[in-house]
Amino acid sequence: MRCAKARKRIIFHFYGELAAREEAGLKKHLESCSACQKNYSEIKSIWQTLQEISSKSPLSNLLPTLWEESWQAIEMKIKENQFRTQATKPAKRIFNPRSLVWVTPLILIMALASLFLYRTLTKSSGFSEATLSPKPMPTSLEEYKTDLKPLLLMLTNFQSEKEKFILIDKKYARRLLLESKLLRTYLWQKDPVAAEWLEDLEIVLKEISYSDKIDQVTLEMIKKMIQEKKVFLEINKPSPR
Amino acid sequence: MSVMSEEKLIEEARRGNLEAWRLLYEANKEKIFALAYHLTCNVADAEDILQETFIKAFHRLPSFQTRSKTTFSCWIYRIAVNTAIDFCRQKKRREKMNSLYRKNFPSEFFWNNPEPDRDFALRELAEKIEYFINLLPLRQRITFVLKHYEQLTIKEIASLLGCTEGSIKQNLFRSLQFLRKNLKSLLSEAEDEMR
Repeated sequence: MRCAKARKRIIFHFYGELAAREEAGLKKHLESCSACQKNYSEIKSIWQTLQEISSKSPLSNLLPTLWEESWQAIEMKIKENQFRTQATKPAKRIFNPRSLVWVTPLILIMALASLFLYRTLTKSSGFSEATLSPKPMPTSLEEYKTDLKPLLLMLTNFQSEKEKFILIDKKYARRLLLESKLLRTYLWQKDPVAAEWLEDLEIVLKEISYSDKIDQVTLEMIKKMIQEKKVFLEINKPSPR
Repeated sequence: MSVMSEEKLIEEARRGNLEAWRLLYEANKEKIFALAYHLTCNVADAEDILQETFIKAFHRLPSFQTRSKTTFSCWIYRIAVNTAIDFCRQKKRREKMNSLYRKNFPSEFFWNNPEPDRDFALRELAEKIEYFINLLPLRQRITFVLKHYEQLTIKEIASLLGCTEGSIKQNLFRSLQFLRKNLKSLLSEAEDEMR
């Protein structure tokens, strides 16, 4: 065996990717070649170090919140995409008088066939309707308002004599902001008034979510914005059904 | 997770059920994060790749066939590899554009070491090795990570990356030669320190 070939095989020897005959050939060559022996010991030392390093898992000392935070980001992104596709989907034309003659019997046949299929499938698979249907929207406007209220109350009731700053949970504020955006996309056609109110509210939330501490000047500005946009008046209104 | 329950979860996730998708995330997150971390040597980047993989996979679920030979974990692993490759390419392009080449050794390596002295030397060495792994060309780095950290066979790597076994062997050989060339002196120093 030549040196060049032997040196290539040294690496695969460590990874256990050599056939028995190749192993024997390499062993024989190493016994007689001192240069390749040196190469072998160098690769061995690197390989052992790499093994020792890779045995220490990078997962062992991760922040415990990483998995949860990653999941939240994934969930948010997926929901955002779902809402976006829902909102941008063009309304289908259900009734077309020109094709009425052809389409009506076709629809009837398809409806009957799908009803028949649906019944047989649900009977045979044993799934209940509830487990098969997609999850409903996570937040209604009412729920959203309940989430939002404590943050706004904290800001408006703040007394500046004792402390100079209010500490804000930025993540919470950003989440509220994102939820408002999602809800707005959803409500845009159903309830334009509520959607417009949410748009106003987002200006206030944006201001809150971009700072860790809120000082006196910013607080005054936010309070003014809350008053101008009539956030509390809207929050106490029952949402339209 | 049994085969049946996985199939059912995929079916549910296809219908938009995010709880089912979360269970699939829980089952596969560590493997994908480890792959992404070894490729990027950076926790934040690995986190981005993990998230991107699960978002992409969710939207591609309709194309996944439960009855085919490929298992879900293989399928999502393949998506993760491709996402990581794209991510590394984009990152390289961004770095070139901003002329922000990393000249220092990476400081981010997060082990929990109970033995201070020996582990300190090993940790320093690992950071340097990590630095040189990062210098490998993308194809060689991926091959090296898949072989060394993920312990896939050459055949598996070839099918995952869509190349021949010969080219995988060549990449692996070149990456180890590169590491040998650069780490020769470092290793003898580290051995002295560890003694």
